[in-house]
Amino acid sequence: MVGCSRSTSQIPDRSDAQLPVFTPVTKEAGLADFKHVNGAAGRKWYPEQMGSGGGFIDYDGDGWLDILLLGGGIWSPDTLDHPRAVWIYRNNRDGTFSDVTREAGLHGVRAYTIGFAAADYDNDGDEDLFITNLGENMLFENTGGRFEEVTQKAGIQGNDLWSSSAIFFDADLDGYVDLYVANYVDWSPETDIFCPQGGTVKLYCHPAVYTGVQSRFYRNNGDGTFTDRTEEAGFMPTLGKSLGVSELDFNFDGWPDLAVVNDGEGDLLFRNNGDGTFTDIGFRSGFAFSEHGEARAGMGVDAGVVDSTGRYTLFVGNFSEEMVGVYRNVGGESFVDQSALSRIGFPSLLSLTFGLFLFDVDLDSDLDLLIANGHVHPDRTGENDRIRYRQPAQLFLNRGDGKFDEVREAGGVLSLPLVARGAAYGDYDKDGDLDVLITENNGPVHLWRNDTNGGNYLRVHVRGRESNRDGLGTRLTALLNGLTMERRIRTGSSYLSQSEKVATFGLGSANEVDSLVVYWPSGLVERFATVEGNQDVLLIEGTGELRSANTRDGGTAPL
Amino acid sequence: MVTCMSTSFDSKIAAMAVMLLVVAGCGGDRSDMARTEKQRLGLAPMVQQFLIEGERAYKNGNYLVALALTDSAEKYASDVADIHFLRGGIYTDLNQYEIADRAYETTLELDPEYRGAHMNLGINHARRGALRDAIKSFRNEEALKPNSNLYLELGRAYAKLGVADSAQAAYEKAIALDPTNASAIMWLGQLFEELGDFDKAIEYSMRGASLRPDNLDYKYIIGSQLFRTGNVEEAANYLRPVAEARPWHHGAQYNMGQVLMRMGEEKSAQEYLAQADTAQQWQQEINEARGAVERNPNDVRNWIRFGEAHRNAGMPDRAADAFWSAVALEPTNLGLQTNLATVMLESGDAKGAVLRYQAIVRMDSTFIEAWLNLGAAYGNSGEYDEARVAWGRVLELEPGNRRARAYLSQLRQMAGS
Repeated sequence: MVGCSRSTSQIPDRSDAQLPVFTPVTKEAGLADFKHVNGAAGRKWYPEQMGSGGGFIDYDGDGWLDILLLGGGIWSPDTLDHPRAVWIYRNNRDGTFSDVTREAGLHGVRAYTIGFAAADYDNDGDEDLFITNLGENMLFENTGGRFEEVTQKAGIQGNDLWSSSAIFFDADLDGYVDLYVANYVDWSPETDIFCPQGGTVKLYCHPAVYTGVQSRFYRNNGDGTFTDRTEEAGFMPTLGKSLGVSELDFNFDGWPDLAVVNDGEGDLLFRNNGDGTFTDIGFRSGFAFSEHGEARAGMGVDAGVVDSTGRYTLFVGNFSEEMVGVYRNVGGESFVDQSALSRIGFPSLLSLTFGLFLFDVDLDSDLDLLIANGHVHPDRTGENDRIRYRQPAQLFLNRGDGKFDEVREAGGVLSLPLVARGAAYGDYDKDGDLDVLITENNGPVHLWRNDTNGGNYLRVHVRGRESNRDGLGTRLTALLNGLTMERRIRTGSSYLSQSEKVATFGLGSANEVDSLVVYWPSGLVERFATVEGNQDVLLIEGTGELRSANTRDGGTAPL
Repeated sequence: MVTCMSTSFDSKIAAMAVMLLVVAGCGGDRSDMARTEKQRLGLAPMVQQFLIEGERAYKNGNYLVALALTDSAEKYASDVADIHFLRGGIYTDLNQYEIADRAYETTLELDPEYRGAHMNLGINHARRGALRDAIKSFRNEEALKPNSNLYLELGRAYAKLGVADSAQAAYEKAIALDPTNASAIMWLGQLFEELGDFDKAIEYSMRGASLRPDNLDYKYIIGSQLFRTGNVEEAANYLRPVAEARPWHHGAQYNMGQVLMRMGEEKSAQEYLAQADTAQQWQQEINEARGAVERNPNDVRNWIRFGEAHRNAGMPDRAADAFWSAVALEPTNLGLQTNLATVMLESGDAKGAVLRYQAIVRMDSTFIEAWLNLGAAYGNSGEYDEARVAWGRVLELEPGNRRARAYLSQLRQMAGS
């Protein structure tokens, strides 16, 4: 039973459009063996409650989305029974997946894994992999569908901290993607703090008791190596307890900006100075704090254009009783928190949100919001009748004007109580709509197939030539009956997770877009008039040609 | 969670209102007179006096005296529900909810129809996040006799539970019972704000503020609502007086900074934002100190830290509340007594400070710092003869005391001029 009150009609609309329908397919897809292990053994060590992420990656380059999951870890280095730190599942192109961790070279990874980002950092045509850990992070080079660890060789080592989310993006627009790694707090078993309730019983600590640690920025040298340029690029000092990072271009100057959200500290908005260096304007822009000037527990983050103003809005997952932050750009460098005005605030008031992302779930042309929830204190949540440890995910449908209605569902996936952390989307079954992957702390993964009778669609894949090969930072706009839709090719966003790197435009009842404009990071702009819907197309930079990339019937996409 | 208005303050007032009524014997309709009301008629004058003075001490934040007076009253009349009700209020303010709850339960055992006990139990439940229990208690109170503040608290509990329609209904009942209940009107506005209906939010906030035009909390709420709806210049008119009067109000400083940034007045904006940063640090220290108090209210150090945090932030009246609680735990600690008197003086309560210093020098007549401050408190009250006596006492104890000499010299100059 699904219900949702929508007071304004969508433009364009489909007379037969339905509310979103997700079918849980985890087991039949072959993902049921996965279980995240947080290592909890009664000591209430802080990292236990925070992981982990997962997401979509086409590791074998066949055009079908595969799934990568982080298994977490345990604390004793001596045990022979290590849980698997990384799991990778190959898409069998029939709705099922096969565990190919060993074949992909990831079976022997020893780490307490947290999150990941995947991109073609060496521009050789395949997706490489960066994994964040509690301890040294790991960079893997993809060598034809098999990963080889190149952390030391690539110069990424030396970050023996607790990292969270990571993002590949081309900060200086030199055609090679750089890497930003969000770091959280200074914690180790040796420095663990006893946080009691009532004097004796240890509970998980509040982040305020730990010191934040500096996040890192690595500039891609273009030769397979990176150099730590955190300070030179303007990212230092930010001791911010960072958990989420999203790329956007809020001022549309063509240079990628970064939003970094922090747990209990002000959030950061790094404006690209137009030369690959950055200035934090979080505080003065209004993004850093709540509407009352308070730092909240920022975890997941995403950014997108959700209304007809053409301006960006940033969405931030926060702690229970803090609401999801909805920061709308109101011109220039000013953002105003419109959590309540967006109608997301009150329904999210009691949710503790980690992963969140914008996607057009019903393909009606505007970006909707999914938030993945789950508390961190199994022992404290009993105090408040409505704040539970396990919480259902929430889906908010965009009315088209930046105001949202929560989809209320009885009995479906949106009523499942979860201890959710990571969240990602991708069209793994190539039916044009966006499916959802959610990870749980110390629990399973969930794959929800989108079976909505939604609108028509156009999906645009890009491949850079002068720009970075993945086309990260490419801005795409589609015009449809006077409505401009905006999408961006990115990694990062959400929490510890990665969604597909494809621009999906929902067309509603329309069969084509009036025009498609692609703004490459290199500065090249390519325009296409009247692009037919219900297809995947591939644009290779500078060719001026949209090639069909439909592979639903088993063909291999030239991706 | 935003707490733009102090529910605890409102609750305390509500509870006190009940007490004032009952102690004064205004029991209402005599035909269905409750047990306690009948009992009051035959109460020994001494016990009644203990209760009235105890209530006054409680109202002034003098918890130690208030507790002593309830103990005295109980000694002579242990079955009087009023005594336990008053004790419940005191322990609530001291964050000792379990003791407070027991006191209210005793109140209800003695008189199941005692007005205010269910409500205060509900408030204590709500403070601990047990909102369903709070609502049950509020409903019990409603069954006895509803009042406007009861529905206000009921609305707050429903709002915190995320049950918006019940919250709205409760607020509307509160307002219907008392159209001048500004808090209820403001909280209804706050609910509309959370629901995203800013037109109604501003309408109700304006209405509430019209009942208390000098209330800076209300001005701040309206200012922040106007800002978020794009009425930047109008927002500035509401936010500016709050930011000017309350350097510690980080929300006002922050919003004022943002407003000015939007208006293009970047230099002024930066000043407010810088002050917001400072205020944020003060608030963080207050929050951490509050957390320590909530975790362990029996540790006097937590109350001292809480008081000092408020004092550092320029909130001496709230610092005084914290020091009162500290003094209740260690009544013979002269350092604490002095801190309390000092913040009372800083908050403009010179008469209260005089009483404190007098109490201190009674406990230790050789405490020079207390005599010096007593003189200063007298001086601030315009009681110069008394100030002269106090500083003279310092010179008796320490003939060479420079400060006492300087003060006395100033007094002579004032007399001469």
